[in-house]
Amino acid sequence: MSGTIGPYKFTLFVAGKSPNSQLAQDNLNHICSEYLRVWNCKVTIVDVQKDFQKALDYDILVTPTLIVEGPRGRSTIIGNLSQIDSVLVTLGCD
Amino acid sequence: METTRALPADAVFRAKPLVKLGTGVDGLDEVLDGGFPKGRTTMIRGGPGAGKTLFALQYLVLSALKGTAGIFVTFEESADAIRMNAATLGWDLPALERMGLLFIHHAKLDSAAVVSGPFSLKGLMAIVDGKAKALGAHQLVIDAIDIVMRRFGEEARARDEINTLHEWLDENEFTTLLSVKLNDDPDLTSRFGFLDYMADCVIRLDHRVMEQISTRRLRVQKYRGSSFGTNEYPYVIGDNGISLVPIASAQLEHRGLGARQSTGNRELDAALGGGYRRNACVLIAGASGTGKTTLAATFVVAACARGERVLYISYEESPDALRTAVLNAGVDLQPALEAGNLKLVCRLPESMGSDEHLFHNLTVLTSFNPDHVVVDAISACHRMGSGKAAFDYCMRLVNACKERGITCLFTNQVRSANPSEDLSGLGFSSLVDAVIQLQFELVDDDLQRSLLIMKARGCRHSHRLHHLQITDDGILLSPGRSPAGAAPTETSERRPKTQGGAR
Repeated sequence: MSGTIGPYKFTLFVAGKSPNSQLAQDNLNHICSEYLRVWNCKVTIVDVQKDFQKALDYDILVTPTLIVEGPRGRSTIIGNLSQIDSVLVTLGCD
Repeated sequence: METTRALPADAVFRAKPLVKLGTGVDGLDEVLDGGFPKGRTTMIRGGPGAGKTLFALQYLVLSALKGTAGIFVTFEESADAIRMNAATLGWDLPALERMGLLFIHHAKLDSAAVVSGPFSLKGLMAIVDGKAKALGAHQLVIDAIDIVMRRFGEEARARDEINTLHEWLDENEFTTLLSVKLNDDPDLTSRFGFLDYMADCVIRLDHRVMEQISTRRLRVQKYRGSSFGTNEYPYVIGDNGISLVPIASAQLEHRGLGARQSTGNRELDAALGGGYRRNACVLIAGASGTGKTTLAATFVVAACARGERVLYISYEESPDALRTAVLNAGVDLQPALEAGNLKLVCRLPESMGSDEHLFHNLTVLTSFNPDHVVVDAISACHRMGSGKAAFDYCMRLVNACKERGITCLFTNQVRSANPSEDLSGLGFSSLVDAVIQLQFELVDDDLQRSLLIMKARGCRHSHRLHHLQITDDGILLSPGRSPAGAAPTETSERRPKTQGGAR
C-alpha cells in the first residue's frame, strides 16, 4: 500500500466517549499506521460537547465526522470509519 | 434498619402539570387551549406551500419580541433566505440576532460527504446545547426534519436517531416545533408516520386549491394530555404572518336590533316604519340595473352625514366607477370620503379565497370601527370559490357585524323576480332582518322600477308595491299606501309624476 503521498491533516469530530466516537478514533489510528505514513498524518480530535463553537465553524451536523485536508483537497467523511475501503478511496490511496 | 419506603399515595400518578406556551399565532392559543406544550415537542406537518416555516418562525419571533430567546435550526433554506423572507413581513431578524434573542443555524448536509459507518446527530445537539446555554434559550424550531432523515440510508436508523433527538429535547425541556414536509402520500406517511406518535402535539397545515381558489386549513391532530379544538380552522398568511380566521362563535352573541335610522330616503323611511334598524342585516335584492347600489349609497351618504362611519365593500366596481355611477343618480360619496367617514374596499372576489376576504374585512372592522357595512354585491361572493365558501363568508361576516352592533346592508343580484326564491341567494335568510326587493316592470311600453319590502323584522312596514325612480337628484319613491291604516305619509314635492299609477 505504498503509492500514498502526504501530508494529511485530519480533524475528527466526536461526541464525548460514545462508542462510535471511540471506534472512529481507533479506526483513524489504524488507518494512519497501516495505510499511511504516520509522520505524514496530523490528527486533531474535537469533542463537540466540549467545543460546540468548533462544530459551528465547521458546520458539523453529525458525529463522528472526519474532515480531511490532503493532496486531493478537502473532503468530509461521516460515520465511525468502519468501512475502511471507502475511507481509503476518499484519501486517494486505493 | 428496614423501613418501608412508602410513597405518597398520589406520587406515582402525579404527572408534571402541563404548562402551555403562547403560539404567537392569532387565534391558535384558543384552539390549543392555551398554546404549545411547554418543554415538549410539537410537530407541524404539511405539504409544500402550507406555511410551515413561517408558522415556526412566527413562534420564535413573537417570543423574541417579548424578550425570550429562541433557536431556529433549518435543514432546508439558508439563514439568509430565512432572514429575507422574514423581512417581507417586517420582522428584522438580524436585529434580534444582534440582541441575542435569536440564533439561526443552517444545518448543512454536505452532499459530497462520504459515509463510512454509523453516525448520529450529536453534532447538531452539541451546537443547540451550546447556543441554548449561551443565550438562555428554551424555545427551539427544527425546520424540515424530513431532509435530515433522507440522509440516513436505513429507515430504522433514521427513526432511532430522531427518537434519540426527541428524548434529548425532552430531557433538556426545550419547547420544540418540529416541521415536517408531509402530505397524505401513503408512502411518506408510512416512512414518517412514527413522528405522529412521537410528538406530544401534532398540527397539520393543509394548503389546497378548491375551484381554483387557494384555501388553507389548520387541524390539530393530537394533543397529549390536553383538550383542543377538533375542527378544521381556516388560516391566512397576511402582512403580519399567520392568523387563524375567527370562526363563527360557538355562542350566539348577537346584539338585539337597535334604533331606527334613516335610509336617506324619506319615503322609504316611512315605508319601513322609520328606517333600517341599527344592527340589522338588510338585504336589497334585484336584477341588474334595478337601483340596488344607488339605494345602498343613499343610505351611506345619509349615515356619513350624521357622522357615522361606513365600510363599503364593492365586489363589482372600482372606487372611481362606483363614485361616478352613483353620482349620476345624484348621490355624492365624495364628501363622506373626504371626511374620512366612508372607507371603500374594492376587490375582485376571485383575487383570494373567502377566508382571506373575511380576514381582511375583519381586520378593517377592528381598525376602522364602522357603524355600518355595505357589501355590494353578495352574489359576487360565489366567485370566491364555491357556494359553500360564499355562504360561510357572508354568514361569518354577518355574525361578526351582529356581535359588534354593526348594521349590514347587502345587495344581491338576482336573476328572477320570483319572490319565493331565496333572496339571499346563499341560504342564510334566517340571519337577514329586512329584505327589500327591487324589480323592473313594463307598463305601457315604459320600463318602470318598483320596490317591495318583503320582510322587516321589528318594523311595521309597508306591504305595497312602491314605484321607484332614479333621477339626477336621487331616488324617488312613491309612498304606496301605508299598511294597517296608518296615516298616509306626507307626499314629497319631488314625487315622480308616475306615482299616480299606484295600484
